[in-house]
Amino acid sequence: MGEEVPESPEDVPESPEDVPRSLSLGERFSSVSVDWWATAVAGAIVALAVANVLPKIPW
Amino acid sequence: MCSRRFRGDRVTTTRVEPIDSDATPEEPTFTSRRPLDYVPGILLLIAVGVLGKYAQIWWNTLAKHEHWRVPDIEYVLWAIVIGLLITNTIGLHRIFRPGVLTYEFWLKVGIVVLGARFVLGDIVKLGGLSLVQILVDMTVAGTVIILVARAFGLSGKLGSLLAIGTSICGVSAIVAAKGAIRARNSDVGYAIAAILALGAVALFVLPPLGHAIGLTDREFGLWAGLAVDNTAETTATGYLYSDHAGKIAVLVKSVRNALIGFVVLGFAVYWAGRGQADEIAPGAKAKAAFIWDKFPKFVLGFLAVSAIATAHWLSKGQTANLANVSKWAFLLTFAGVGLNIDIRQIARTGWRPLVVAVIGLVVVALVSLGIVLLTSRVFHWGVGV
Repeated sequence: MGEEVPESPEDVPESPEDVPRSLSLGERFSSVSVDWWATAVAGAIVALAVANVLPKIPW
Repeated sequence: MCSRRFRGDRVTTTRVEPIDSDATPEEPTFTSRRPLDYVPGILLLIAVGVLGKYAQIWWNTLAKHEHWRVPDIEYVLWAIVIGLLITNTIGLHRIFRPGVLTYEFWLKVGIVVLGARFVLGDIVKLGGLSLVQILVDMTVAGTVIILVARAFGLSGKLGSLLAIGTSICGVSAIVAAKGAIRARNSDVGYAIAAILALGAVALFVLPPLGHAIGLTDREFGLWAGLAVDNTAETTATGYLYSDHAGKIAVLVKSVRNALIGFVVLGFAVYWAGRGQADEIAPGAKAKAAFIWDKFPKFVLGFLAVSAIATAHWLSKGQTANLANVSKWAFLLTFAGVGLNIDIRQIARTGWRPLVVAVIGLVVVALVSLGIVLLTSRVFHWGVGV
């Protein structure tokens, strides 16, 4: 009595800790393992080579 | 894969936290979220690598000009020695550390791109052959190391960690096993110290030994791939011998790396059975998930690039181009290996891990050399690969 009961779960106010925080760009990047980063970078280089647009790399 | 970084600033190849500290090894190759933090260290890697490359040319030119009869010192060794001298004389300023620690990233980029130099058939043949050798090496060397560790009064779990690190993939295998077998931090510290010392010693000892024994490039590549524990040192050791030996060493080491999950799972089940580790969830699905979690994913990239090369999607010129990309990536790795060898830190780790490391190195080197010579010179397995 006297207290308002929320009509639906959506009406329940959430504390800041309960709100799922979306990952920042930096956090998203750092969540990718170094193995996958290395594979992605190497894959991009190989894709350029397959497309025959990788410039000549001297040694 | 064989990463060897630790929490905080003191994080390196042969830089080890004090044995009884609570610091736990972990795997941050990327230690900062700000891209600019990496620039100084990466520039240093490039500078040391390029200096190493030109040092080889200058050395040879000087020797020719002065009519000296001296060995051709490879750029690999120059880059490592220059890096080592910097770290152990003037020291490595912390501004360089984030970039220098990326050398594991360049190593993996180099390995994935190196896939262009292999056709899948050769990988299957050589991978299959090396798998047999790895299994024999792992069993014999692992057993000996566990017995030696016991003889030195080390704990059973430390013995397990040393066997895992020696037989598979150095520090990252130890780190992968740490949680699974509930090892103590002090045991992890000892095991890492031993494995890192072992890798540094192997880097300088194996190539001259290989020449003295008269190993072919292929035999030496197999030997380095089987005997050297950390992938960066394995690659450097192989390339110190020759390009072909380096290629073979990387392939064999990748097969070893791919086995991390299976070996760690085996030890985890053993210690769980003795009530000294968490139970692995029952069922094949949970075990498959465990193995996948530990699996070095860049090996998949290596296979994918090899499949592209096998399908002839790369012209001859672009294949050569990719080989050079791989060499540059490895050059940065070798510079990073040198910059991360801190001799004073090795000396501070105490005599026990170093003694176990030396015994481990001798055992692993002898067992793997025996396997290589037996399979190639007696059984003639995969000699044409």
